[in-house]
Amino acid sequence: MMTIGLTHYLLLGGLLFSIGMAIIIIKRNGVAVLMGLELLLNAAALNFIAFSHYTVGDVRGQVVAIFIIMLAAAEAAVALAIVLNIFQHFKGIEVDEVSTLRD
Amino acid sequence: MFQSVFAKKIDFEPKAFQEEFGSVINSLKDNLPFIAPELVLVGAICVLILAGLFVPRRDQKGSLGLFSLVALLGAGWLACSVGTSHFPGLEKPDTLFQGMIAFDSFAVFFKALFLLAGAVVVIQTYLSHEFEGFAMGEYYSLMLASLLGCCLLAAATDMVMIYLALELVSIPTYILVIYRKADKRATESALKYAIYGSVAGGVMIYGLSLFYGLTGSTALTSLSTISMEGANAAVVVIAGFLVFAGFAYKMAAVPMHFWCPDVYEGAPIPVTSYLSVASKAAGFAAFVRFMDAFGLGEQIRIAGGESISIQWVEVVAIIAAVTMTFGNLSALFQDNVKRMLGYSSIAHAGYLLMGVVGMKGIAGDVEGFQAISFYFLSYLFMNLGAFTVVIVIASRTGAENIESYKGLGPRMPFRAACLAIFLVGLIGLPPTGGFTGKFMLLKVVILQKYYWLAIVAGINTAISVYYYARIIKNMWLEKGSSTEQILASPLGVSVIGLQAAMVLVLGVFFSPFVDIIQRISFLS
Amino acid sequence: MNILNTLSILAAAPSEATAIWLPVFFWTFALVSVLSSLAVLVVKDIVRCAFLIMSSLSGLAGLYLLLGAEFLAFTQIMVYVGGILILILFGVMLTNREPLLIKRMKATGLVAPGVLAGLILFTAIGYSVCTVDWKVTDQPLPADADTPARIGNALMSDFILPFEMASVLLLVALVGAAMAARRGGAEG
Repeated sequence: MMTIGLTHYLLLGGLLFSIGMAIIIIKRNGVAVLMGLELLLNAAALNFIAFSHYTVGDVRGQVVAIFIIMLAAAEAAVALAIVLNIFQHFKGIEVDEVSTLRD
Repeated sequence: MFQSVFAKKIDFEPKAFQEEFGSVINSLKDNLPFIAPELVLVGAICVLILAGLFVPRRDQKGSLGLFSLVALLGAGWLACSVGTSHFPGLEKPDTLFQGMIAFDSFAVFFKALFLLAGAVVVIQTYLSHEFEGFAMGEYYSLMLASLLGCCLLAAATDMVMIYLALELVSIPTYILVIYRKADKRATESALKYAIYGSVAGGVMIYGLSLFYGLTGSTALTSLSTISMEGANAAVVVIAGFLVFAGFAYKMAAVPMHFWCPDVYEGAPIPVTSYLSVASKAAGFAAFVRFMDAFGLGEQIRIAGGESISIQWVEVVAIIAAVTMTFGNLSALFQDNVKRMLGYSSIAHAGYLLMGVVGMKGIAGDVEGFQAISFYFLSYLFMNLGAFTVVIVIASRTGAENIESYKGLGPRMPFRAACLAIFLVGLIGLPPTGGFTGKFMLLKVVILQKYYWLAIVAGINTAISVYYYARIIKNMWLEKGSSTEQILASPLGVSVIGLQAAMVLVLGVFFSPFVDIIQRISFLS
Repeated sequence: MNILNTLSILAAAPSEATAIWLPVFFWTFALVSVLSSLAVLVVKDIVRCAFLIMSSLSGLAGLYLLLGAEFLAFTQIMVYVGGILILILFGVMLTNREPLLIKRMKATGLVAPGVLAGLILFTAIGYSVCTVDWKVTDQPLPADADTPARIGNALMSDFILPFEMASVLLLVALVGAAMAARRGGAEG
């Protein structure tokens, strides 16, 4: 409890990953699903940084985390552009309201 | 430490810089020729973005398409000839870009495949009626960017590189799906595709982070050092499944297949055709390389090493069986041709996964990944060919439903006959390349003694006859409402004819191609 | 600056006197991130969700400081909190006809499966990461490691290809996003 080690960070990463996944499954709003996605990516980045600090002792993991943040930005930009587009068509961004396609 | 960062006087010493980076710059010089096709693509992307601003809009589909076609064929030629006697004096370094990518015959084969597929898709775009009067600069540059990702993905030997290249394949395709913004189906499917695609990527990178923790390195080669025994087992299993989710999304394998029918139906047909071949092949290439490094034969022990003990190869075999069965059974009930081809593409992902099963150890004269390579070669012509005919039919008659294909045979005899050849190939019957490819896949599976999987594949082939033959029957045996001849363009007819010829060649005179396939390896 | 300085030194070189503060900071930041992300699950209001995510990601930035990754911590704040979340807020506002009206999300029937999936995932990941005997290095980065310079070096040497690839990726993502968000798009 008092000495913080690698396992603490990994458990935290796992917890954030699971919460992110739950958000993705539960929420139907496109923007909210994006928020869950950010949690998934941050859990991965936290893992990389923690491993980099504890098991390797170099900055490679931190560099990977930079790439993850970069990708998150690109994905968010593209997904939000699509959400805007959806809104122009359907006047709503709930994935459920939108269904001209069959399941 | 923050003082050290902010307050430190930056003294730039050329000599120290030379010492530190001299070797890096030198190695760059040696490395760059080996990514020549990728560099051509990057150059073409920039030119296309700019040209889209200056070329008159009504000409863009043709002129920018021609430019992309030339760039793709040039890059394809470079991909095949760099490292051969065409460019004497090129010394291949031991590792390219500090081990980020490999330059081996496997990567070269798949690069050539992607670039050829890209060239066909550019022609399909030109034939399609869907982009009349559109600004096409962005379209072609996004297509080329995605192909750039495919090329790098097939060569990637580092986990960071795999993840980045996978996203470079995906992100442009999200926009390509939505390119016709007026289409409601397209926007809806693009939202699902983009969001769940990003989620699959996030899941994958989390799995890769666990592998990084186990090995302390992001290089794929380090994966083989992971011991599956004892305490590691649980985390290896979880990380393995999470990483598989990312690959499966690209390959459209169960359980990450759900986007496939919607996106195939919603997207413009050339984009669908691109997704069904190039981006799927890229996912497979990376998965095969990953599994080669990871090792398929390893035992996984769950719960203390005693209770359950399975092998990765069995997991892949089960997923292959479920994927092909699901794809084929769902395709039976489709009316829309694009949607049917979407489910058929899921089924083909299942067949191709059989090749991954065949990668375990040595299997006869053609190994699993070589069978996959050959199948993709025939799949390229069969599937792209089928989509080309579908595009022509949709452009000339607006028909996308299987019912409305009735009586098309006599109205466009040559192209309908070619479509029949493509569909026979997709079923996997002789004398087409589909048969040769499926035969090789079955053979490697049988040599691994996975008889049940071969039987499942056989049953699936029989099921698939029904829905593919339904199109052929509608075209030739049923009477349509009209008997008017459908206009043929020389370009469309020749492209379709060439692809049909290739399908037949791969089915009859396959030995030169098998020779090429047999030389494919991960080493050189 | 002093607080940040202390934090990183705490993490990198815990001495007897400072060691006691490390868990305090860890638990504070960890609780902030976990509680705010849990709250996202319950809160219906999308603007509030965005701010909760913001606090969760800021908590993570604090943890990055504890891990000796101060460059990452600031990148996190600038790119995530300053960039991506603002983008998301823009998205929320642009898709709302009355910007200040709160957009509520529909709950779906998937609450139970979602919670269940989250619990199963956490159990599986938690069990597995606790059982593994991670090889902890005996040579962690020193406290004055100058990580930004090291990251810069790594980006320009080992990671030069992914770095350049990332630039192409960002270019096409921008071009594509601009195309998709433009009214009328490629036709208009």
